[in-house]
This record gives sequence, C-alpha cells and structure tokens, in this order.
Amino acid sequence: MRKLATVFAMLLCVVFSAMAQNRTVKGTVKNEKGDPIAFATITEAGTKNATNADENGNFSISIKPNGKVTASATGYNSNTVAAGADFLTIVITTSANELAEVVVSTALGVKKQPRELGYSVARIDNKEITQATPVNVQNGLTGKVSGLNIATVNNGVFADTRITLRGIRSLTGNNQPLLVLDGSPIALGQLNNLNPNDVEDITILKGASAASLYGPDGVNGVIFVKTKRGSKTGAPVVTVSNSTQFESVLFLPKFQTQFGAGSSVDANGVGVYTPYENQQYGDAYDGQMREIGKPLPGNIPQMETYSYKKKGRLNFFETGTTIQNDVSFSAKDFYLSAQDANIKGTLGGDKNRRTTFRFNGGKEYGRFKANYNVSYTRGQYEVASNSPYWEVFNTAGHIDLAKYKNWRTDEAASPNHYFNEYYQNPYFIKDRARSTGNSEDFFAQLELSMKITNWMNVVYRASNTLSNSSYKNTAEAFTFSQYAKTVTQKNNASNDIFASVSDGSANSSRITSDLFLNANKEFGVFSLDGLVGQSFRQVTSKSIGISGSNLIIPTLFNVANRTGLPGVSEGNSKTRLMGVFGKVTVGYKNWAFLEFTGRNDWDSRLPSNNRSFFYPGGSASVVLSDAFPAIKSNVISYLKVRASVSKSGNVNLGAYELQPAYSVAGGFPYGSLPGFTGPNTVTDPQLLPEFVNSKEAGIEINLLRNRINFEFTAYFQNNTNQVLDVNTSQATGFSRATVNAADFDNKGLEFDLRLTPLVKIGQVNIDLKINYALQDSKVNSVYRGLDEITGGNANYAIVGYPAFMFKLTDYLRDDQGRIIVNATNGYPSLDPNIKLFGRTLPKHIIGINPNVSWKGLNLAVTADYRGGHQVYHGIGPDMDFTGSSARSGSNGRQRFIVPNSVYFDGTKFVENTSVLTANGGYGFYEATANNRGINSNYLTSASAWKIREIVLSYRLPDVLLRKTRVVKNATIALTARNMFTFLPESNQWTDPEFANTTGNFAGVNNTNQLPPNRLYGFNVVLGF
Amino acid sequence: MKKQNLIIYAVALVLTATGCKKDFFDINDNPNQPVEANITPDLAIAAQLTASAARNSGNYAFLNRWLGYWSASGSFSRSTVEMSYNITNSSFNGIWNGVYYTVNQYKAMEKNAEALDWKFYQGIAKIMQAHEMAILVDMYGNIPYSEAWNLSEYIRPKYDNGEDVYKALFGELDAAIALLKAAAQDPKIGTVDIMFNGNKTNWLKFANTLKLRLLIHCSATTTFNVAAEISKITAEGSGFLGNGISASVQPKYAADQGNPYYRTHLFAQNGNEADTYNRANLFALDLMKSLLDERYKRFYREAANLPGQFRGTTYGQNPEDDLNSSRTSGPGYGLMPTVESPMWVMTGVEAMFLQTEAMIRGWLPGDAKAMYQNSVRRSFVSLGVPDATVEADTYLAGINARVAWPDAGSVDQKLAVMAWQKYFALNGIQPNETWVDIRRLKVVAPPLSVAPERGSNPVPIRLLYPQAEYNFNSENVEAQGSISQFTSKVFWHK
Repeated sequence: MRKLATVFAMLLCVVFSAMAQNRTVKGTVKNEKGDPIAFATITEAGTKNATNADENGNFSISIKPNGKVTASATGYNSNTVAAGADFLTIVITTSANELAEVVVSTALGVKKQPRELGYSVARIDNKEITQATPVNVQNGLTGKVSGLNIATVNNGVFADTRITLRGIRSLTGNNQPLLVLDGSPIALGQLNNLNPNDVEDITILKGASAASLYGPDGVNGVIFVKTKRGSKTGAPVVTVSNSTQFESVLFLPKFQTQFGAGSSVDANGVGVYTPYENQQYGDAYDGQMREIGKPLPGNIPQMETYSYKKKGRLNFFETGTTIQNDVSFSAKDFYLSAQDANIKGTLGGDKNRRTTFRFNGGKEYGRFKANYNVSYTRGQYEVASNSPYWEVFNTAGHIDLAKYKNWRTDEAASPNHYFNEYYQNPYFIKDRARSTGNSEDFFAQLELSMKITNWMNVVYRASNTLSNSSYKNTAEAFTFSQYAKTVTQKNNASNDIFASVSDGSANSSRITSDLFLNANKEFGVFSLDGLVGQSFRQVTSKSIGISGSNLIIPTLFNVANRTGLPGVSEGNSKTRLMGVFGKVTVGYKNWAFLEFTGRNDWDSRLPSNNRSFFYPGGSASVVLSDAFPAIKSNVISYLKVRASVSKSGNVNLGAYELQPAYSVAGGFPYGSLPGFTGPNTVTDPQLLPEFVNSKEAGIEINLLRNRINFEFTAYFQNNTNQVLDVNTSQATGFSRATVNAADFDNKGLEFDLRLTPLVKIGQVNIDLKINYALQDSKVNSVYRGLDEITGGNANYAIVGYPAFMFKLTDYLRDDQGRIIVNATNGYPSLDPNIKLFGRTLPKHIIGINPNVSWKGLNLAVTADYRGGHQVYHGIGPDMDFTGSSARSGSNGRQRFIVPNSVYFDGTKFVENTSVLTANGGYGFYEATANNRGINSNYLTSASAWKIREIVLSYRLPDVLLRKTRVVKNATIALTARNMFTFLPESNQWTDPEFANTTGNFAGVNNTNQLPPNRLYGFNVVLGF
Repeated sequence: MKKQNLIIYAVALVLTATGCKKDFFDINDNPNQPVEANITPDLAIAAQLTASAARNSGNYAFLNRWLGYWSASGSFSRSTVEMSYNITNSSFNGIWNGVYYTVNQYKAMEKNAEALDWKFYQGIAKIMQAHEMAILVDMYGNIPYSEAWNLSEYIRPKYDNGEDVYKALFGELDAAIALLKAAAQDPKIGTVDIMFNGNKTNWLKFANTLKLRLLIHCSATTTFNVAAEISKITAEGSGFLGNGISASVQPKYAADQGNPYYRTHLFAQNGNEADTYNRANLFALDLMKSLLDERYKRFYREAANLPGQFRGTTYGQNPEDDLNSSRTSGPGYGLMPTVESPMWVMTGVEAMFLQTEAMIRGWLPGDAKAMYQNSVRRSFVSLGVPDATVEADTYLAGINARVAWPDAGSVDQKLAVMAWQKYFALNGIQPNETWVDIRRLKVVAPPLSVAPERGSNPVPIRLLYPQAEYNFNSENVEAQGSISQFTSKVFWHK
C-alpha cells in the first residue's frame, strides 16, 4: 500500500504542474433554424469540464485560455468551436441519426444502437449507481430499473440479496440473472466483490430474448457490468474519495409494555411474577423495585424497577459504521483503482472488510486490439455464529439489556448468575461463538480482437475467476461455578459448556471462453450484421471441512486439540457447458431491423442422450418516426415499436444429481463396519432441459425534444418442462422427487418514464424518473396427479394461481368464515386443512427517482414500493411464546371473547357474545393449538414504501477550487439509505423484504434476521 | 486472400465447436458419494438395523410421559401441546417419516439382494419391514401400504385398512421365514448382521415373536385364525425370543460413537447430562416404591444434587425450582448401563410377556404362572437389579393384586396382573407396546396430565396424520374422514 501511495503522489505532481489560469465564456446554442436549444450540454473540448445551457439556450462556462467549446444535445450533431470571443453563438444541426451517440452493450458485449433492438434493455450509469455511496452494486441498482427486483433479505455486515428480473421462470430452480463482467459471464455472487466506483455503467438485458446468446445462463436476464477503461479524454485523472456512514436500528417489533416476567397464573387468572422467568406473562408493571433472578454470591439480591424500559432491548444494538476509502487513477486505456470498505454492524463485534484492487488496460496494434482486466478482492469478516435476536426480543420489558454487556467481568451478567434462568445472556451468545473467515477472489480477463476487413472482425475473450475462501468457527467453553450449580440452581448449570471449533476451506475456478466472428456490411438500403461463435464454461469447486468438539485446552481452537472423533467432509464438483450460436440482423434504411438467433448447447449435468438442445429466436424493431417522417414534430421526437419471440433452454440441476447418492449413516462407520443410507429425494434419471418461450413487445417514445422519454414493454413467458422438486407423501419412500413437470406462465408490464427536466425554474432543475412493473404469473399444470407443489416456507404453486401462494394453517371456521370456539373454554382451534392465502412475491413494484439541482447543489432521492403480496412473520409466534409481543398484551391479559367467533350449541353455530376464553394470557397466547400454531395470525400484507436513498451533494464552484491549484473538482455529499419505511398497521414485526432465504420460496422471516437498519453519513470526492 | 482467411476462421470455429470428444461431457459421475449401484446389501444392512433400533431411543419419549413413566423436570415451562393432549398434525411426524424412509431403505436392500440372490438379506429386509409397519398401524390405524414405495406409479398412495396391512405383514413374515430357511450362509453376514451375527435361528425366533406380537394385538378382533397361525409358528419350530435373547443391535458402540439411548437420555460425550427434561413420573415411581419394587433404582437414577434420593414430578405441572433437573431423577442405568451397551429393537422380556398372555388365553400350551414369573424375573435380571432373582422372588411373593398371580382367578384377572407387570417392565423401554396394551386390555389407567389446558381431554388413543399428508396426499388422507386423537380408533382397539 505504501508503494502505491508513492506512485499516486508522483502522479499527482505531474497533474498539478499542468494546471493553469482559466477564463469565462458566455454564449447561446441554436439550431439551424435559429431556434435556441434548451438545456444543451456545453463541454470544454477534451476535458470533463461541462455545464448545461438554460431553457433559452444560454450558457456560461469557465475554460482554459485557448480552450475550445463543444455544444451538444440529444438529437443533434455536436459542434466544437474555438472560444475566441467572450460571447459565442454555436449552431448545432439536427442529427440525421438521432440518439446515435447512445450505444448499449448487448449480448457478448456487442455494441448496438437502441433503435436496432427488438427487446428491452436498460442502462444505468455510474452516477446513478453510486449517488448514495452504496457498499455494493446491488444496493445502488435498487429502485432504478423497471422489472428489476432486488430484495435485501437481511441486515448485518453481509448483503444477502435476492435479485430477479421480470419475475420468475423456474418454480424451484434458479431465477437470478447472469452477471457479465466486461463481456465474460461470471457467478452472480461476484457482484459483492465489485467496487461500485469501478463501474462505468450497467446494462440490464431484461428478457430471455435479449440474453438468448448467453444460453442457459442468460434465461433469467443479464446484468452486464462494464468497468472503467480509462479517462474519456485521455487526460490523467486522479480521484480520491471517502464515504462514511453510520448505521442504526430503524425499528424493532411492537412489544407489549404492561407485563413483566412470569409464566403462571394465580387462582384469579392473574399473571404471577417470577423473578427468573424468560416468559413475560407476569403481573402488571407497578414501578416498584423488585428482585430479578436469584441473589448474587454473598446473598446480594439483584434489584430492578418493575417498569417498562423503552430502550431496554434497543440498547443492545450499537451504531454500526460503513467506511469506504477509494483512490483511482485513469488515463488513456488505463484504469487503476483501490478501495477499502470497512463495515461494522449494529450487532456489536460483527465486522466485514473488503479490499479491492483493479487494473484495466488496453492497447491497439494496427488491426489487433487487446484489452485486459485484472481484479483482486480480499474479504475478511468476523461475526457472531448464532443470532442472539431471539433472546433480545424475548427479554422482559423491565430489563435494560445494555447492563449485561460485560459478562466476563460483571457478576450479574455472568452466565453463573444472569437473572434469566432459561435464556442465556444475548451478549454471551454473540461473544461466545464467533465465525471468522477470509476470501480472495481473483478475476482475470483477456480480450483479443482483430479486424479481418473493415466490415469483419473476430473476438476471443477468456476469463478465469479464482475464488479461495476459508473459515474458522469457534465456540468458547464456560464452566459454571459451584455457586451456580448448588446455590442459584441455575437451570442446566450442571451442564458445563465445552469449547468447539470447525475449520474449512473452499476453492473454485470458473473458466469461460467466447470466440466469435462478427460481420457488418451495408448493401444499398440494407445492412447486414452477422455473428457466429462458440462459448465454453467449466466450473470446478472443492471444499473441505473439519470440526471437533470438547476441546481439551479450551482456549486453543484447533481441531487436533479435541476428544472424540472429528467431523470431516469433502465436496467436489465439476460441470461443463458448451454452446454454439449464431445471429443475423438485417436492417433497412436504418429504421427497420429484423434479427434471428439460434443456439445449441451441450451440458454435462444432463443424461447423455438428452444433453444437446437447440433453441431459436427472432426480434424486430421499427423506428416509426424515421419510417414515416410525418410523425416527427415538435411534440414527438422519436417513436419506435419492437417485438421479439424466443425460446431458451435451461438446466436447473446440480452436478451429479441424476443418480441417487447414498450417504454414510449417522454414527457410521463403527470401526470397520460400514453403513450407508439412501437419499430421501429421488431424481428422474432421464431429465430433459427446461424451455422458456418468451414473447415481448414494446414501444419507446420521446416527446418535446427528448425531454420526456417513455418506454413500455409487455412480456409473456411460458415455462415448460420445469425441472421441479415435487414434494411427495413420505409414504412414497421419498419426501421429494425431482422430475420434469409443471408448466407456468410468467407475464408482466413495464413502464419507464423519464422527465429530464421535469421543471426548470431559473437555475433550479428538477428531473424525475418513474418506473413501474407489474409482475404476474399463472401455473398451468404441475405433475401427473398433482395440482400443487411446495418447496417449503408455505409457498405453493397451485394450478390456476400465481406462483407462489401462501397456504397456511388457519382457525377452524364455520361456513360464514367465523371462528369456531369451544362452547366451554372459549378457545378457537386449528383447522388441519391448510388454507389458501395471498401471493408471496410482489405484484407491483414502483421506483421513483426525483432529482433537484441548483448550481452545484443536487438532491437525489430514490423511493420504491413493492406490494400485492404477503409476508409470514416467523418471529410472531416466537414473541407470543414468551409474551413480549404487543399482540399478547392486546387484551390486557384479561379473558376475552374471540372476535367474530361462534360456538356450537349442540345443533347449530351461534354467534359468540358470552363465552370468554378460559385464560387471556399465558394459557391462550402460548398455546399452539389455539394461537401460535395458527399461521394466519402472523400473516400480513408485505407492501412497503421505502425511501431508499437521499443524497444531498454539493459540487464546489470551480472558482474556489482554482485557488487551490491542486484540486480540479470536489463534491461533498450527505447520504442516507433506508431512512424511512412505511408499513401497513397490521405489520407489527419487521421489514417485509426480510426473508430466511434468498431462494425462490420467499416471504417468511425468522429470528436469524436482525431488525432493519438505516444508514446515514457523508461522502467526499476529490478529483485531481 | 481475404476469402481464404474467412474460410480458415470458419473452419477453426467448427473445429472448436465439434472437436471435443464425446466423453468430454461425461464428467457427471459423483466423486463425493456412492450411488445405488455401489451399495450391495452388506453395505446398507447395519445402517438400517441401527435406524430401526434408534426409534426406541429417539421417538417415544412423549409416550413415556403420557403413560406415567416419565414427566418433565421443574426446569421447563409447560408444553401446552403435549401436556394438554391437544396434539396437532405436526406432532410426532418423525415416527411416520422415519418408518416410511427406513422401510424404503429395506425395500432397496431387498431388491438388490434379490438381484444378487442373497436370500439371507432378503429375509432380514422383510422381517424388519413387518416390524416397522406394524408400529405405524398401531399408532395411526389406516395407512398407505399397497401403493406405498412406488413413486413412479403412485405419487399419491391410497390408504389401506390397518387390518389389511396386518394381514399383509403376516404374508411378508411367512415369505421371510421361507427365504431365511433357504438361505446359504453368507460370509459377511456374521459381521454386518449386527442384530444376531448371522444366527438364522434367532432371526426365525424374532419373526415368530413378531407374529405373536401382532396376534396378541388383535386379541379383541377376529383378524386372524389364531389357532392356524399358532400352529404354523409351532411347526416352524424355532420358538420365540426371551430367556436372555433379545433383538438388539450392537454395531460396537463406543465412547466416540455411543449408544443412542445413552447419549439421548443419560449422558453426553463431554460428561454432561444429555437429558435434563425427562424425569421420573411420580405415578410409576410411587407405585414401585409402594410395592417394594427395587427396579425403580434402575429405571431412574439418583437426583444429581440429592445423592441417594429418587424424586419424581407430576406430568403437566408448572415449573418448580425444588423439582428442577438437578433435584429429580432422570432415566436410569437399568435402561442403558453404559455407552457401549447394545440397543434393543424388541426385548426378550416383552417376548416372554407375550408368551405369558398367549398361555393365559390358551393359545400356547404351557404353565402360564411359571411363564409369568419367569418374565418378571427376567425383567429384574435384564435391568441389572443387584441380587436380581432373589429380589424378584421376594417381589413375586407379595400379595398385592398387581403382583400376586391369581391361581384360582379368571382369565381376565390373570391378564390384569400380567398387564400390570408388563407395564412396569416396559418402563422407558417400549412405551409403544404399553400404549397398545392400555388401549387393548384397559387394565392400567395412566395418570392424566394436570396441565390446566388439558380440560377434560383423555390420553390420546392414536396420533394424527402428518401435515404433509394433508398437503401432498390430501384426497387420500381426507378420505379417512375427520380424525380425532381421542375417538378415532385403530382397528384392533375395541
């Protein structure tokens, strides 16, 4: 690092010496008719120094003494003039090929003009991604692209996210898109290893049509990340930045605030206080001093006021920090960067550090061109192995948890005397068992291209991602004192806690290569663009793990230091995929385009006779505003319609899954006695690939000289031959079977509206971008004789319904839907037939991105909404179990009449206005059969509005910076993430985005997800 | 020249595309785990026998508590589900899932053995399947059987009458006996048969005892022609388990790979108590103490912090400090003396009580009183009571109606005393058989839970079908009608 710093320092000296005095030039921008061009972009030629004209085309820019000025605007050819005079009139002419300067990366990194595409792509540039200095790319994308759903399923120092584009195409397999980095497909998980500041732009290929050349991997869409390749002008630029953000708990579940510890009732049904109870079904708070737990040694009672402590649980969480330091140097075809991101979580002691280096370069030698990218990411983390969240939210309300932090030194906090006899001190839980790990990810890519003729070139691209990771999980010993064993009679004190350790490492390699020939030629009014190529991918991985318990020397965490047998495991995997593909695009007069694609794949995971599969596709686009120039007016600047039809093959199967694999049975081998046991799941040995048949159509329209951009897409995908895990009756001998089954439709609408600017009042510029996606699906069939399946988490795919629907337990109800209660004790009961509830995936996703700028000040906001689905709160019954939930105190622990209930009077159901529950506290809420086991009690709407990002930035005036003679540009910003979340009243528990999985069966949370957090801080960027 | 270039590139592409050999993609053989073709029956049998035995250590604790053997220590809050008997479709699914899984493993082993003509293994597989499936009928009544374990044809297997399943199991046992008799002695069977070390006679005894168990279960029904079945058993000639021969597995349990019962209910490898929840139930403990039955010191162990004291708890009571786990008695050394002891599948003691009942009923010839007394003596011996035979004889000389043999009594009186002694003998060992006897003979009435949530519920007479059946096999399970754990009887329960 020191060496690197020296290099940068030297580079800085070079740059600074080039600085000189500037001058201000004013002027106006007009078109060939003499009309002013509103909001044209004015750039000092050859620099990044730029400004915008106002609505009357007037501008003012500070440039070098002999600098030139370039004026440009969408739909016009740019014009560069020498700035001889102090007032310039720059004329720019209407472009014959509007939007020509915009190119997007399509499959294989082939650059295209948007007009040629028969499918939807979205491009997001670095500024939009990094505006709120997200620590990873996926956070920076959230809310900004229609159809892209990024769900952050947990808090903490790792970003567990689930990413889907346009809903789902597989019921039980992968639905997450492919990540392509500078043209090479890599594992989606590598998104976590990318420095967001290295990203030049991201193109989202939303549909299978756009990504069909990527074969099976592209069926869920593609996130195409292009990293920076050097400064645009070739001038050397050094950028240094720091982002510091603080993280705190946004909200905790709703608690009851009236009752303290206890788990029994007196003769009158009133809760009885038990000083050492974990459950909170005691009597009401009275503000008096009470003894908690058992006395400390020396018979010293532990005392606490018996009143609700508002922050008693909240204070367990700390203020986390995320600090990112960045430095980069770019010049022509040269980009070098380093980033250090340091995260400390709200769970004290949790930390994760990511250090990234990147070097991108390129060189042209006549008809040859070489590009090379190398990046290295090192991750280091330490986190609590076990979530203490259960113990936190289930601590009685009169306890101030923060008092129990120092369990090693503080007698009251020590496991020997901790007041709670049944639950351990959460500080002890998080400190005792720790997980540490390191990861190293090395990505290298080489791209060679050669121009064969001026209309044909060949490209070879190879990449390798090497990942190495290791972990060590340790758990400390704790030996209970004699006092704990005999005097306080601590529950389980006779069971000393022994030290244990597990250690392991994994490595993987992903090699990809693409070779393709690209030809591009015009024949009169026709243009022909053809591509033929081959791609190959091999993924190998290996993991080894060892573990030992009962460590002899409790502080030495090494597997060799143990009694008993060690646990050992080994896993190996290798898969290969090869594809051959071709594409041909015919253009007519640059306003009509027709494209055909085809690809054949060979996949090692499939049975040899089903291994090869082919699928074709086609798309068309017509720029109506060019085809019929009459359409073009001052109102309509651009109008395009497009459509595509394609088929894509997919393989949702792991390596080696075709044959039932036996495992060593638990305990075996006993000496030389072997014992193998078969799988509880079975796979059809003659599986076929899945196919996704996609259709999409869309319209793109630009209005008022491109101030208003509107894009609309409708898509429909029929997914057949699904490789599916079908849950079965255990009486079949198996709990699940993997078969080709199910057919379902995935469909939706996408709207993107960009108003740039929405309003311009003087120098105040307000932009607004809105995107909306409607995502829906319908299951057509499941499997012979089956009309529904589930993969867990109460998510069901049911014929005739969207995937997925919640099916959960509910109350036994009469035919009018009223809850049937017992005529004697007033208790409801559980219906063994589970019932259908709402969908588990959002139906509506809205993103709103307003941006307000005034001179150097800029305010950017990202808000989003997801709705139309439901969430099951696994922590709901957990909180009712201990009685910490607001729900369990909702009737003051008094006997009550179950709302909307009936009872059976011997002949018929009569409305219940008289039968009170036998108990209104512990006896009711803790019970499974009439409360906790009834899932529908904890199912709520999952809709939420979130203000994801708020960024207020200020770009220091150049005048000011000129005096420093060092700094070329400087921006300071206040940043905030997840500042506000708006939830429906019924959701008393947590962020509905949180889930216990990043898999398909979403919408269920549990105690392993910490409470939601907000981040706020500042960001300083200096350019030299 | 340019054309030539083009051709070269095109050829190169085609070569890379097709140049790979066909076996380039044949890399899908599992390098991590064996597959079915690798697993000959000798590699599977020990694992499956161990799994069958482990059901006695892992699945029946709730029955020990329901039936008055065990109870919860005062360290835990009341279970409002189990202690109220308001069980749900999610309660105790492990038995159902475990049995269907294990039987599927026996079926795979049987199929492989048939292909290899390893008759010994085929016979063992059939006996063990019968053993497993009878347990399931006893707990659930009607269950999938004829369409079970045939996923490719029946993804949703229908339910068969429990009675039909019982009859089918007799056919399986007859077939097993024939296979065993015809089997050549296998060289490996002596080591991999961890139940009887390849002793054919003992397997035949086990098969006969299983038949007797099922006949006894059906004592109140006309399912079987008892005389004909008994004469088949007699004709076979190997007799029954008992007199020191139990069906137990011994894979060579050791400290590192301990007996599952010992590791679940006595002590963990690090020396900690493995089970701080289950404690002596005051019902059985007080009864034994009052009958001067020394076995209570073997069924239970001394309270950890109160040396010499055997203390129990009442099922369903509130947590109480004085009754916490270190002040009450957990499962004892008589059940599992050491971590290296064998683990029973079916005990010889139970087999002797089965023979006693058959003699009382006149199904088997012989002196019922002698068989009864020998059964009790064997219980004392197998539990490791010091001076077992002397203690047993003293005990048998008692005059209490739960012990003394009614020489002049009716069949029912004799059955009653047998039922009480079988109840005592199976404490913590085979509560599933006790549950059958309680329902069938109606002699022993287990104590009711004192949990207030119980209301007026009686002890359940069956389990509820797993939730997964309602989810994935709904029309077949729903065809069984509404099931109540209090009123829906198993077919032999009259």
